Amino acid sequence: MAIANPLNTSLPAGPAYQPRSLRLWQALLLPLSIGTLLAVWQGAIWLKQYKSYILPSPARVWQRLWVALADGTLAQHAAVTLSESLGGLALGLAVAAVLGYLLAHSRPLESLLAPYIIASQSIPIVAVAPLFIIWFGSGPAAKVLICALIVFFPVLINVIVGVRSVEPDLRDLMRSLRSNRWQTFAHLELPAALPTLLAGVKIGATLSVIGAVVGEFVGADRGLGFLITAARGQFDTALVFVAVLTLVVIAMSLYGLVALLERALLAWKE
Amino acid sequence: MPPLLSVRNLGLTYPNADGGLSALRDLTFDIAPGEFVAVVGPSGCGKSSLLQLLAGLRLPTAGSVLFEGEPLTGPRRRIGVVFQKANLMPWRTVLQNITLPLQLQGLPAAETQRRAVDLVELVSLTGFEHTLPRHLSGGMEQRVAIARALIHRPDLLLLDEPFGALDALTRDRMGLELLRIWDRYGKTIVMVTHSITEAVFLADRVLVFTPRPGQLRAHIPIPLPRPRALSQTYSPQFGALAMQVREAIE
Repeated sequence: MAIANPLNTSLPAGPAYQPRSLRLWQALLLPLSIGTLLAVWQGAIWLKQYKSYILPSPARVWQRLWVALADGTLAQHAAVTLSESLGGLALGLAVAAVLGYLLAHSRPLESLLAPYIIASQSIPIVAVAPLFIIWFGSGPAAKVLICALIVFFPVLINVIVGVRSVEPDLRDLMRSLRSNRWQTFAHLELPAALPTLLAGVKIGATLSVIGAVVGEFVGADRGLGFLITAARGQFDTALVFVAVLTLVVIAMSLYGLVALLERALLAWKE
Repeated sequence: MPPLLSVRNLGLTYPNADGGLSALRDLTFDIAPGEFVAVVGPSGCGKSSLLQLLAGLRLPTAGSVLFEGEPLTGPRRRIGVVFQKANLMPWRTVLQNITLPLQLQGLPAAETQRRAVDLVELVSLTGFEHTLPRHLSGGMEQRVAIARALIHRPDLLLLDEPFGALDALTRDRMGLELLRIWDRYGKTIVMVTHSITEAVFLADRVLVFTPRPGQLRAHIPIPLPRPRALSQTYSPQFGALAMQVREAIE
């Protein structure tokens, strides 16, 4: 499944029937591509004799990973980044969901706030990150806020689109049944907007990790962003690789988690 | 018997740039309890708007709709609506779609379940209780919609071209099924349709509308004996009535 549709962009998992040879080929695709990548990487080192602080070999990165795992540094910093990302994701999601719902229902509010919302997105996150550190200190709070800011926009847009996509006829149906506002939300708007909302959360989940690292670059004494900066300063390029790979793993796990949630909640779409 | 529904000088004007688009003008008629009334007219004559007014989903710009003598100012639970599209929630199974109205009313689950099982049988969907709407045919979807409109036992059932999207054969069968349900259920039905045959076949009375702005052109009583059978549609009497409706439209 993960190989047939790794991005989980469409819910139906493709054609139900595939010839066995094709399935076998697909199952081999990912290991093959990783193998090729490693081969090119190692090949470049053999060919060009790069110094290990320029480009460490896969084996060296692997060894460094074990060292970082054994002495606990990796787990410690990864936990910080992960919690900041999750906190920011939750905060950005909550604010965007509430605001998006209100904006979807009020055109005047939308035209009032849209310029600010779009402006907030036109500023690169790296440019505002220092301000957040100045205002909220170098602790986790600033990072959570940076993550929330970066998560906010895609979720907001998806919530608005999702709520507005509710069929007017179904709204009429709910009205004819004298459904109150809360019931219309719970029984119609939420389930109808959920596919779009979750698509937004998927984007937000990966962006959130970026937000945390950007925040840690600017000012922190822990976290994978800090680890990268520190390792670079010590020419420990292998550790930079380890940290970057860990970031990839975290982002992919968050994405996968949302995709799992999607499968569970949107089973009716399959 | 006092009418269940009284329409008095009803008018509806949609606001637009040049003073408003008149959809319905000066409609006056009564619907008696237990009656099956069909509303026919050319497309764009405001039939669907009329149904929205009768459902309380829209408010008139002139005149009034009286439900048991009281002006209708909004939707009521005693008025059930079946729309042109089945309007099922794709994330709910057949049974969950049917029970939606009772769920909103907060009825006990046992009672809800009991009624739903009855209705599933009434609309011949036994075996499909846990099926999702996307696995249903158009005819089955509309049967779910009818069951959903009946579950909270409304006194008035409004149908807006419920079989408009179905093929001719399914449509005939659904018509018969609707008559069977009406017979057993004994409530009042107002059905909008653009099919003259369907109107004459199903109704006690046909209201014929003029093109926009919709006005009432004729009341045509349909004295065909009940229970009705499709074979009646080939009788001379049926042909004469259908002709009468057609002439009233044109």
